[in-house]
Amino acid sequence: MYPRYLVIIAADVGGTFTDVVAIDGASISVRKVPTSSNPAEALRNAVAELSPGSPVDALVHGTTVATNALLERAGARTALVTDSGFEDVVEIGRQDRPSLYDPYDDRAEPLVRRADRFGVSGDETPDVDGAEAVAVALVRGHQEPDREAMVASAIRARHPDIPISCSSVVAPEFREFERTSTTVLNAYLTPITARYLRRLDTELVEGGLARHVSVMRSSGGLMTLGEAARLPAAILLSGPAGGVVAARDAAAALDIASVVSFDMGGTSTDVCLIVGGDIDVSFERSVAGHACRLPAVGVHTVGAGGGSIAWIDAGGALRVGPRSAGSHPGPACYGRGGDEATVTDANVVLGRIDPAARLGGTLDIHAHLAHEAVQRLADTIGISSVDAALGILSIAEETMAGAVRSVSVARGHDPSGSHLVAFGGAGGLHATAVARRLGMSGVVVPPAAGVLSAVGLVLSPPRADAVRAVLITDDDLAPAHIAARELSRETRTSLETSDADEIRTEFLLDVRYLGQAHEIVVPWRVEETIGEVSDRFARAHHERYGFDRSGDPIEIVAVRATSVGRAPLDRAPSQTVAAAVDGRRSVVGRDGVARDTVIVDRSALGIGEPLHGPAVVEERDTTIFVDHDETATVAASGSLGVTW
Amino acid sequence: MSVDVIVLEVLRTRLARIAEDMGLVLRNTSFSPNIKERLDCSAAVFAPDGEMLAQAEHIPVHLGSMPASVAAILERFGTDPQPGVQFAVNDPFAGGTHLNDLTLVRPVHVGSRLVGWVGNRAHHADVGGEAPGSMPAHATRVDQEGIIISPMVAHRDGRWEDDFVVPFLDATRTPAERHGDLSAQIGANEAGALRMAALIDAMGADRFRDLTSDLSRYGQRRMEAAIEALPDGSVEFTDHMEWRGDLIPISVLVTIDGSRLTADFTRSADQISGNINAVRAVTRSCLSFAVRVATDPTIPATGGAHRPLHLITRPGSIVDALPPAAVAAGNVETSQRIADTLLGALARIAPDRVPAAGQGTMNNVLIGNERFAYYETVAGGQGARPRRDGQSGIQTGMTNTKNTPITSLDVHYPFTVTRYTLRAGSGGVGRFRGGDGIEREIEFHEEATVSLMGERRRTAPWGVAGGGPGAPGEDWLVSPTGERRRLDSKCTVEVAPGDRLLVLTPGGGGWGA
Repeated sequence: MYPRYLVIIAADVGGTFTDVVAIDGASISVRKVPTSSNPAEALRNAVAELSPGSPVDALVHGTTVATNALLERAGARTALVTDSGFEDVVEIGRQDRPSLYDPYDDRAEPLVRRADRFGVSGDETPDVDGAEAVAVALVRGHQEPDREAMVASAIRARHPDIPISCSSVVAPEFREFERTSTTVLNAYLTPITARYLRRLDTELVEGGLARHVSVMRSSGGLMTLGEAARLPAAILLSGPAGGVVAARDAAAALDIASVVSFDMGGTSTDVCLIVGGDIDVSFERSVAGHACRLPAVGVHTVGAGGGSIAWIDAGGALRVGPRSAGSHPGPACYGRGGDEATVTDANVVLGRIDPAARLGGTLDIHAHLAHEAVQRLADTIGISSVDAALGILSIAEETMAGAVRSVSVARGHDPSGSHLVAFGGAGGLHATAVARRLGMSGVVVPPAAGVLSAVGLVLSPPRADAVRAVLITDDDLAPAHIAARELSRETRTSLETSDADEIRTEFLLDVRYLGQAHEIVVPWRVEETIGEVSDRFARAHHERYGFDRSGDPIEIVAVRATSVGRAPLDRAPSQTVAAAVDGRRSVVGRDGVARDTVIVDRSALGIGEPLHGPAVVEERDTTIFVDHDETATVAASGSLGVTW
Repeated sequence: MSVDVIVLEVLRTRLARIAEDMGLVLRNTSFSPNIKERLDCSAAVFAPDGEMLAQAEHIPVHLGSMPASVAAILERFGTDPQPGVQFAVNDPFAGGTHLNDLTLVRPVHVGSRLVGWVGNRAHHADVGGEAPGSMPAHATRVDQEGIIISPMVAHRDGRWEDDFVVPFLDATRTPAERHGDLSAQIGANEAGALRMAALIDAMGADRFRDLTSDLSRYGQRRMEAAIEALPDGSVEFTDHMEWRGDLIPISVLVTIDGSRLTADFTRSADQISGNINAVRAVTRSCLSFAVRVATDPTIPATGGAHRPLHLITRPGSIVDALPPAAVAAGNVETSQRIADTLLGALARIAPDRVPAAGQGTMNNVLIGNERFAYYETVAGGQGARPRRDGQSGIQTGMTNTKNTPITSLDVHYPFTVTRYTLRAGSGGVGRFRGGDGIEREIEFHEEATVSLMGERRRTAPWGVAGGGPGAPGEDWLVSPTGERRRLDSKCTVEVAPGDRLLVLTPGGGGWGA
């Protein structure tokens, strides 16, 4: 008998809907609930509706609470304690500006006001009165955990209720600005995240609706509510991480080694490289302009989505995005007052989106408004409306192809020959065009592609990540072994599981050539010697950059550990979500030819039966376009493969 | 217009991506903090005739000066280069800007046909010369500033050419680091050439040639549209460089006439017997920069975008230096003032967009001895904007290099950063305040030579519309006994263990009374 699992993903950043997916054995059901001002309550209602009577075994939550608090700058008033003379490191950052030529493109305003920055030189206790959270980040905090702890306990003695984040705990790496920024982010987000998660716990666990609740972390694993409340900077990419995990799972079920996940939504497209079943995890990224040195899926975002607006620039070129019509007013075809042509409108003009469709079940498409908007643009350029629509798509697709190429090339991986795993509302409309631009071999659209990020949550294992700064420039790996032992203990204890045998711990090293300023993170088994580490690093360097300097001395600057337990589910459900549409209509292919095209409900497709294009495959919340020279086939795992 | 506007936009996106990916390879594989951490490098792709098609620039002073390198190589070696060969140049009077900036250029062939060029430029922390870091403050001739590489073959058939690499590595104080950076530069060009050849092979060389001339005209239209939005007229503006006891005037007359902008620097001072002379390629970069700041920051970096800009300089002047002038500070300091001068004029033409003067210097600090060479620039205040304060502690003008982490300096160099904070109150007053400068203090643990190359120590970053000036910068050497000595803005001094160097960088000007 299958255990009963319920999965939840919170509101998208646009704040319109919350996707709630219930998985019961092989079957899947979906609720889209409007996001309310009290998300915990919205979740409670959806759970009660999907699982009436008995509590669900596990509820996994992909949340944007921390991300939204950051974007809206609604976090806590935060004090920063650092060494005297270095109070403004958090503001100066790396001293560079975001745009070379735009004097108005300001860097993100620091999360700590100047008056709330305190420098200490001895053992004095700064007066942090008025602060709701405190970050302790000494310039060399990665080497001075005891001094940071002393500062923290002195503050705690005076202000027992204020949460304190220490850099030696949150992100103990050497670069002082990035470490300080991560620590400040964490402190800033702690009160609001902790409050929200506590309410969730009350509503769902204490309310008897769920036996266990966990939260998705940015690195693609689950953490407990308590852990997430202490380390909210680790859940900033909670949303995108679920989709990447599900994409990996879909690829693994088909035995495809290397794929790029392709999540296209209304305002942007997220892509991430997955090679040999390993998700590319990045250890250095910024969120809303704030550096965050916690591991996160290596998702690259480009401003090309369904709502991206097409426009003519001062030089007469047709451009698409990065400006987006968002959900208000949305594309012209939403009929909410938008009159600029978007990618979605182009899809309507070409017949690829059903002109009579109801998006999200609630929204009518006003096809004539899409036609008018695209026609206006076409008249300006002096081409036909169909050519303009094809042009809009080809420009948007080039931008997306560039993103796929970027995440691949940055890791020394040639995208040609690999597959694209497409999901999100619009992924299936553009995936083959993007993949073909890059010479990729095929496209995979997993079941429930419209809500795949939610599905990915239950496929994610409990996970703990930790890091220690070291400095090893000779043959002696003893400091790395000591760090590995500590990190192993630390990460294993923080996984809340009774069965220690189920936990797998892996180590990574941040390595660079002596004198180089950029590290490559390479896997390490503790029994390996420095020579083996050197060889692996040289291979990674060659793979990524096309050359190496074998024989040159290396230095190791950090040891990382990741412990993972067992995911709630071993594989995704194969069932798709019925769209209940069929028929025929005229659809324009990428060659500009309009063809009478069959419209198929995805759930009606049989396993292994080839569907020759042109065809439009509809699933709830997502549409897949199969061009005239392409063929779609459903695999046993439920994924739809498209080849050409 | 036609469907080609779509093909063109796709091509533009793809060429820009190739340049960006080259930049990525370069900075991820380079060895010196200067390139990787500070991003003192650029990459670009060119048409066969040397016209720039796309550039990934990380610092503005490289914008517009890169094509001169390709032009110099075309002039020396003609249009029939051997496939796969890589050329090097740093000669400021033949395609370079100052000796630290070494540019490597590689032809791109499809079959035996030359279809374009790729190139990248990186700032090498030491290229020899009479002081570590290769910017000796006392230099009066370029040959005192390091090794001069006139356009030559650097790499052929996968190997370094001895004629290039041996003297270059002999000249530098840090050959191992240089060799690493050179490898990164070669790798970046190889990666770019591969991508560009594949792109052109797929679309056909003739079609590519036609589209690139469309691309060039597109850049021109963008620039023309930006200039047309400005009112016609002429404005003259003068600012000054500090040289020993003197102030050296830089004057520009900016004229807007329809879609054409002329910047006439004829009345600027003669070149001087010192190192603050700028070559014309630097002045050209400043013009491209200032016009983008004052109009449309998104104008693409193509050759065509330069066409509506008319630069008039007088050979032998401080903005168009002739050999054998020393030029090290021309690139890093005079460039800031040339940009200020242009923006000062443009502030009167586009008063609702152009900010007050930023710090107007790069505060170059060079530290080294026979064992190491370290180079940094220190940020300062941004000028206040119409309707907004200036930002504090941020790079402005012709540079955008990052700082090196203090904790990285700890382990690699015999000195410690003992103070790094904002310089409160240094921004100019006004309805909107200028951004504050920075206070940075370094304590030395070894004997070393320190060269400073700064500006705005006696003149101040100006305010706009009645706003007050930013505070000028200051440089101090403090002995272990606490004795303080004010340093000249451009000097080379010997320091001993326990000495501390304190650099206070200028604030930005204020806006509005």
